Amino acid sequence: MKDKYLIYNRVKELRNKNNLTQEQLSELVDVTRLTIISIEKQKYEPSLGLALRLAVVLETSLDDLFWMKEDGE
Amino acid sequence: MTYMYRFLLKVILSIVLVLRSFSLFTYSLYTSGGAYWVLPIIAVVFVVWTIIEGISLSKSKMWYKSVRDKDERTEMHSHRAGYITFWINMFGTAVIFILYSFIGINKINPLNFVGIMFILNIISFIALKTYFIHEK
Repeated sequence: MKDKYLIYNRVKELRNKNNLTQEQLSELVDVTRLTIISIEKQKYEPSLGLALRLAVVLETSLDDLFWMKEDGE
Repeated sequence: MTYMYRFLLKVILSIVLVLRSFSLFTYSLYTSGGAYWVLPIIAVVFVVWTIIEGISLSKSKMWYKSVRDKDERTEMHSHRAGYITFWINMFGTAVIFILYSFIGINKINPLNFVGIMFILNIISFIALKTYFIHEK
């Protein structure tokens, strides 16, 4: 069953803007590099805690970093 | 805990497993049957795993960095792998019981089946977890 809503993010874009590598970002938010890769590829939806940590590290707000779209929109 | 510290613990455990395996082999010469092959197989797998990790750590020069291979995503995949392994275990145990109802308990030592299930569980859990974590 497919989800009706899909979650998108700008993690990769803002990481590049802040001149951070995936390894550096993973260390800053205390997760593995594979998790950062999965989030950037929109394959994994992070928990609220991790999403907030990413927003703080990438110096943005949560709703700027993550947003939701209805499937097929 | 650094990768170096964890690696040393694994080396110590490998040595203990190998020493126990040798003593078990010697003992098994005087006994018949039994799952005496389980521990040696686990020892060999563990030693190979430790060597691979050592090579990987040397290549990436991670010896003195803190261990960070667990997070919410890997935990989630561990639970998924554990759930599937649980059902493999249930199915395997049911098959063993059915098999014994046909062939009787005296033909094959039950310890051998316990050993097979034990190894199957470890392999399936590690394989599934690795697959889920590295799934692209």
